[in-house]
Amino acid sequence: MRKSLWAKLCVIGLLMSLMSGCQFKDIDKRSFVLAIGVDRPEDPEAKHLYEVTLKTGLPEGDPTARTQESIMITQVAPSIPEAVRLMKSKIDKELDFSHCKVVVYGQALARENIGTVLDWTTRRRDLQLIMYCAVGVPNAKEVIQMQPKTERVPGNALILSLSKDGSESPFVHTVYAFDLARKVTESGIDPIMPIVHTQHPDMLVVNKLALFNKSKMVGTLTPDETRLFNLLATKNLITSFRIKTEGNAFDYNLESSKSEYKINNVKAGKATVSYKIKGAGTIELNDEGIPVTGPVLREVSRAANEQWEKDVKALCQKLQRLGVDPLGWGLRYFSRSWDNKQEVQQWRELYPELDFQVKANVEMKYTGLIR
Amino acid sequence: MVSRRYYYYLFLMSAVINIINLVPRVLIFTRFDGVFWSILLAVAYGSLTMYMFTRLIIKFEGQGFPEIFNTYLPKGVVIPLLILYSIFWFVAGSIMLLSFVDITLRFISPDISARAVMTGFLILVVGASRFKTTSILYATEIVLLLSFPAMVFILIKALINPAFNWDSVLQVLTYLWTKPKLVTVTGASFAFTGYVNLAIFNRSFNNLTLKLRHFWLVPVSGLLILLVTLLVPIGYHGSIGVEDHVYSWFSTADSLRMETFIVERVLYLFYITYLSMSLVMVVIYWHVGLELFKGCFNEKEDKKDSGDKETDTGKKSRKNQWIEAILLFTVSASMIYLTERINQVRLAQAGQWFLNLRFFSETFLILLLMFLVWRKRRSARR
Repeated sequence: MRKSLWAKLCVIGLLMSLMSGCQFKDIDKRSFVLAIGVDRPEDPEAKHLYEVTLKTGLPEGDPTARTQESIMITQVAPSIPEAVRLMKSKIDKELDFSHCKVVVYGQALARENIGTVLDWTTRRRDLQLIMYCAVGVPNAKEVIQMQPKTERVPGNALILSLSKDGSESPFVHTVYAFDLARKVTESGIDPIMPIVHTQHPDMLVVNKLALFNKSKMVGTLTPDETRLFNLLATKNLITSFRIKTEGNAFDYNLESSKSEYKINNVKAGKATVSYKIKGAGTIELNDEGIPVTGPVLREVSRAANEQWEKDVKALCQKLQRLGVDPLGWGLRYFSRSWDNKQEVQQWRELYPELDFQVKANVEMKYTGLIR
Repeated sequence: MVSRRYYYYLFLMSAVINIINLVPRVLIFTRFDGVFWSILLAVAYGSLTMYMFTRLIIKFEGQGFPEIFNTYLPKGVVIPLLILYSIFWFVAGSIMLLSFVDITLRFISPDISARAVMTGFLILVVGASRFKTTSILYATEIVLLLSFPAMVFILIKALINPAFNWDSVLQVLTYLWTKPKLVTVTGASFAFTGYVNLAIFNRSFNNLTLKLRHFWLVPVSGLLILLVTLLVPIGYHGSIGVEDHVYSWFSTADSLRMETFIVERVLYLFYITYLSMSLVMVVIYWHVGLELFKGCFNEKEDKKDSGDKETDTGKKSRKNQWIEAILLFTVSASMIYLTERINQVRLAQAGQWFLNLRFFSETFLILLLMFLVWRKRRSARR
């Protein structure tokens, strides 16, 4: 008899653990923060302060109806936690960070130091490690406050454009918070973040990449360079490229792509990063409309290869000139070197003298539906 | 009496549970100081002690420590020994419980009080640790089999994710030729420690045999589990940044995303899976602790009923119930007291102390069992 009583109690205990509910505050007493933006204030007197902007959504009934409005709160304070506490007295509902998906670093702050903000976002327990990180231009506040027409749910436009869930743009490189944090600490690889800039009246454009030297932004990549960077960093990039051949121009759609590289240490004090990029494409546009035959297809492939080889080499040299290593060449060198004491010093000497070799092999497979 | 496979469940349960707190911490802490050789040494030591302990204890068919000790050792030694080991098992469970309360507060609900979480866990654990030994084994199997798909899913998801940085893993691998450290060996061998629960669970086995045909799986799976424990967080947080994370595996799970599932964060799936498994593990530890403690008081009944354990556990004497109630109340009260008192650093220190002590006490247990087997043989000859 006693046994079964205990068994029943245990079952009840187990069932109770399933009833999570909303802790002690009901959902209508909370406002969900969906995006955070951190800036330095424009006022030159307050340059050491942080200007935090939160985009919050209030839970409402029907998500398909476009009635959901987001609420922006801005606060200037000596630190981000201070700002959040001060904001709590500006809003009647409890701020809930557990659904926050985006952190936008203002351009001015990114050029200075992202370390403090990054520490806060990784340390705070209710902020996810899979938040999207981005640099906001002209500043984070304007990016956060932008309300694109396509936005159905507060903050969703920013979330969808930074992730690959909505539109899959080849100019976007998704960066999660854990990825940013590890690249700041790891030696031999440098952080990157996509740049979001506002285009008035109601558009957010993500097509550039910010390059960081650890915690400081030192340069940007143009949209074309960003696309090439994505070609090097990801597999099967969905994009198209435009090439010019003799007297004609083609656009081809990339069906599959793969890039690999090796670091060949030819002799002491000299190393070569050699990239091998493979791909398969389909002709998407033929400017002059002349029939695409076998030789033409081969000619297009050759031109595409040349284009890639030239552009990728230029991109690598640009990264080298800026002294950043977003593709992790250094880490690759360290991971293949057994000389753990000397390797960092060796790489520091090798890096400025690096040579780049690019071997592209993109093959045009189809001409599309017409010749 | 239960089938032989439950013995391997005991091992597997404690092996997969080790990734929660203590083991990854010590492995990651020494990742540049001979972690790989330490893991190999720990695998050798763990498998060897597991093999020897099991070979020794199956000589006492269907008997737990209390019965064995009471038969072959003088009474003055038995009681302190049983109480000591009982405390040991309770501490093992308590550290796991305290870690999980901490994890719950950190990752699930920052606002709830630690005592409330602890009370919730205690209700379950205290209730379940009074179950029959065989029932706990059945529960272990069910929970393990239910959690297994989720574990495999999370692991595969983690390994095939393009965000997993293999270069960081290889960078740590290039530190292969460094001297192993004792702390890492003691920590890593914790993955094998499930077998010591035979101290009580041996009561449920009467046909346990160790065949090398099956046993080779133990070192192999142990090695793989330890390597995964160490290397997956490194792939996600970098060879240097991994040290920043207090619960490296929970941070790793938080870095994964299930795009097309109801909840996006893998963290919740990971939490539920490991919560259920570690609660079962705590139940196992506390059950052993409870039975060992009870063994101090009723050696006579144990001797009398040793032939028929099933009915014995069915109807417990009134005295037994009082002992259980007082012990479990004391332990629960001290747990609730400790949840508010202990902080993260002290918990980690206590955990490391526990790992070190356990390492040596296991060696002592084996020597003790050897002595007991010798006593048994001698008395049988007479």
